[in-house]
Order: sequence, then structure tokens, then C-alpha cells
Amino acid sequence: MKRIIEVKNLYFGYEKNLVLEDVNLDIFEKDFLLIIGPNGGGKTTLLKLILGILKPWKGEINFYDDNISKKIGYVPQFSSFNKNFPISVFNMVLMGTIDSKNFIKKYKKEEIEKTKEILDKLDLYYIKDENINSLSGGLLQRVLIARSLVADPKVLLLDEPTASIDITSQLNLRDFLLELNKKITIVVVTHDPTSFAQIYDHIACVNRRLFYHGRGELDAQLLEKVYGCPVELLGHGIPHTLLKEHI
Amino acid sequence: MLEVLSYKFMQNALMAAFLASIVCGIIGPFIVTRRLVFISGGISHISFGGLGIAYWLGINPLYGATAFSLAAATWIGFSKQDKMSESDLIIGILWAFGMAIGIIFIHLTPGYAPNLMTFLFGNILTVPRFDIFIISILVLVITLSVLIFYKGFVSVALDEEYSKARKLPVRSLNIGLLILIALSIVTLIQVVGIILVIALLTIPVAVAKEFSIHFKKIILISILFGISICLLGLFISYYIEFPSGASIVIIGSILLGVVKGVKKILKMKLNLDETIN
Repeated sequence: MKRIIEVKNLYFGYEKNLVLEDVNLDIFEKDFLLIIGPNGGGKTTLLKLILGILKPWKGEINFYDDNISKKIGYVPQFSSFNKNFPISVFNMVLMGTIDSKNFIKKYKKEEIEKTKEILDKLDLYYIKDENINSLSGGLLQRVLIARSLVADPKVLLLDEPTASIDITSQLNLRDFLLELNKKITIVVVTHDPTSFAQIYDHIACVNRRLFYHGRGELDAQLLEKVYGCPVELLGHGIPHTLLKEHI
Repeated sequence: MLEVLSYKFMQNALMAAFLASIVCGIIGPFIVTRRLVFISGGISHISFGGLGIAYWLGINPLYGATAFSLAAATWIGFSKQDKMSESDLIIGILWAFGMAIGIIFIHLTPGYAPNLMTFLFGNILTVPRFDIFIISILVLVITLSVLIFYKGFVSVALDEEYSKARKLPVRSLNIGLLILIALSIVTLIQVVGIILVIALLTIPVAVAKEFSIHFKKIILISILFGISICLLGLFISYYIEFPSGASIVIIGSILLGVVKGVKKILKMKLNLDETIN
């Protein structure tokens, strides 16, 4: 697998509190990476550093593909955007095309066509004129994904995508991401990895430090046993040791 | 009725109403959707300090107000980023500090200060022709800036983090917007005065939001509503000699109440019809 993003000896904190310490992480082409860990452990912070929203205190983030840093799609948590802002589904998705080069230009015809195409593909076209504030969690999630996909990302970062959606939507989301993963890299930050337990390639556990695990560490027999007991699936230690102990 | 329009002061007043409405319609929706109402109130009151100093120096008070409101906006823009909660406190303090400076300098100015009430509550009937000229330039600058940076302003207003991830110059856009807010406030002071400025930036938007979810339409409706209440206020103040700024604000508030009320009744009726069917 080709490495496309490298996080190296990364340190970051807010004010004086260290949030991430000596973090190292490789993200590969067509990787399905889960970033898990407790709340406040630094998962979202790591995502924002990769996106360039935050600047590291120390260490570096390298991109091993031409323009990959501009080809990162981002699906933020619901709470991150301004719900007070009136906007239709169509315009919200269309705004995914905005970048540092075109934000003072008018929307191009291709961008509008692309928006229609994506809305159609994600089965959102019928609500294109609705206000985003009136949508259910599952639909809003799809709109946020649509917005990230209009810019043709090579890597898609999703922050807690299952947090406020019902179980059916969670399953749909899983299937959709699996399909998408055939073409692009998927990175999912979550505190509840059950939905993705069967489809990930790598796991990074983040709690100030980062511990990295590959799929192969999971014993197939144990996986079967744990199916239906999802909380333990990613537990370290007794009773179901699925991942190696952190050193 | 029509001969009123031949008076020069009336022509100035109409121009002022028209220009003020454009400004509230263009900038108001950003202030309301981004919850910058308190910051805008702060900038408006801080500008009173500059106004007082200019008055004391014997130069056009509009210059002083512009200088102070611009300085305040730039300062808030630069400090806001990291320490949001602290800036709330500091704006509150500067709010009062600016007013205090203004009052002291107007007090220090020898002679009678007839314009104090005008600055605080506005008088659309006494806007000088030269000020109309300055306001026109400000309105032109505000309109062009919003037209050029519209996509960026909307993107940042909707989702600041996402805009940062898309590598937009979020900080510059935020500071730019605050500067435009400062310029808008200066243009509005003439019409409704420092204390009532905030009403003109919020009431038309509150009405427009009842009619559309499209930001551009909200801007358009806000402008039209702004013109309507400014003109009504203007004629009320001319014919029954009520203070113009206060008249505009009261008319706007009443109409907002009517719009909200009618909408609520229609919605209740719709729900009732649905239950019956």
C-alpha cells in the first residue's frame, strides 16, 4: 500500500495543556482507518491538524502525493457549523466547491452540474430546496458528506459520523463508505467503532499518545465470538484481547 | 404632499433613508446569522468616544466616529480568534468606556451642545448634504466588498472550520467583515443614532428570515423592509414631529410582530386543516 499522509513526532496542545504527544501515524491509499479513543483524548484535534485547521506545536505532517493536501474532504461533527444560518441543501452542497482560489469568483457551470450529480447519487435531490435546519440527523449527515464529495477528494475524513443518526442510517452510512473506499481513503474518528468493526483496515487509538493496530491483529475466531458483543471488540486486555497491548 | 419633496433637507433625508436601508440589508443578515449583535452594539457605542473628541476638536463628528469604530472593529478582529470569552468582557467594558469618553468631551466643548441628542438617537431630517456624500462613498465600498467576497463571507458564516479546511483566508475575511460592520454603523448613526443602530441592523433581517431561507433573498427583503420603515418613520417625524430614529424602530418592531403573528396564525390554521383532513 502506498503511503499518502505521514504524521511524524507531532505535539499539540491548547493553551498550556498538551493534547497530543509524540504522535506518529501513516495513512495509506485506499486505507480504511478508524481513529478511536475516549472523549477529550485528542481524536478530533488530530483530524484538525491533518486538515490544516490547527497548526502543530512540534513535528510535521507530510503529504506524499501531488496536491493531496487540497484533496482532503472533511465531514465535521454536526455541532461544528452554524445552524442559525439559513441555507438550502443545494447551496450547502455547492459550497463544498469553494477553495482558496475560487472564493472571489462566481460558481462555474461544472460546479453546479457536479452538485446536481452528487445530490442525485446520494439520493438527496428531492430535498434540494429544503432548509438544512429542518433535516433529520441521517439526512443532514448525507448532506455533509455530499458537500465534501463535490470537490472530488482522495481522502475523506469523517468526525463522529454516527453520533447523531439512527441505526438504519448508520448501516447505510457503513455500506456507502465501504463502496466509496474502493476508490478513496476513508478516515473515521469515532468513540463508538461498532458500526465499522467489520470493514476497517487499521485502527489508531488516541489518548494523548497514539497506538496503531492493523487488521491482522484481530483473531477471526474471536471476532466471531465478539460479534454481538461489540463493546469488547476493541477492548484491550481481558476478557477479549483483540489488539496487542500498548507498549 | 409632494411639495415636501422640494425641500432640500427632505431630499437629504430620503437619500439617507435609502442608503441606510441598503446597508442594513447587506450587512444585517451577516450580523444576525453570525450572532455578532453584541459586538456590533459595542462598536456602535465605542464610536461615540471618537464622535465626542471630533466634536471637541471642532471637526466633522462623522470622522471621529469612523476612526473609533474602525479601530474597535480591527482590534476585535485581531483579538477575537483565540480568546472569545474574554473579548465578550472587554467589549462590554469598551462599550461603556467609549460612551464615557464621548460624554466628557462633549461636556468639555464650550457652548451649547445641541447635537448630543441627534448623535444618540439620530435625526434623519437634519443630515447635512456633505455627510450624504461621505455616506454614499461608504455604502459603495460596503456593497462592492460584499459583492466581491460574497462566497467567502457566506462560507465562513456557515462553517468556519470547514472554510479553514478548504484553506480560505478565514481570519482576513472575519476582520474584513468587522470593518464593514464598523462602516455600516457609521452610516446608520446619522439616521437612527448610536443607541438605535442595532435595531436597524436586526429588525429587517428578522422580518426577512420569516419569508425566505435563501441568503440573497433575505438581503433583498431586508433592504426593501428597511426602506419602508425608514420612509414611514421619516414622514411620521415630519408630520407629527416625533423623533425620527425612535419612530423607525417602533414601526419596525410593530411590523415584525405583525408578520410573526400572522405567520403563527397561518401555521395554526394549516395544522388544524391537516388534523381535520
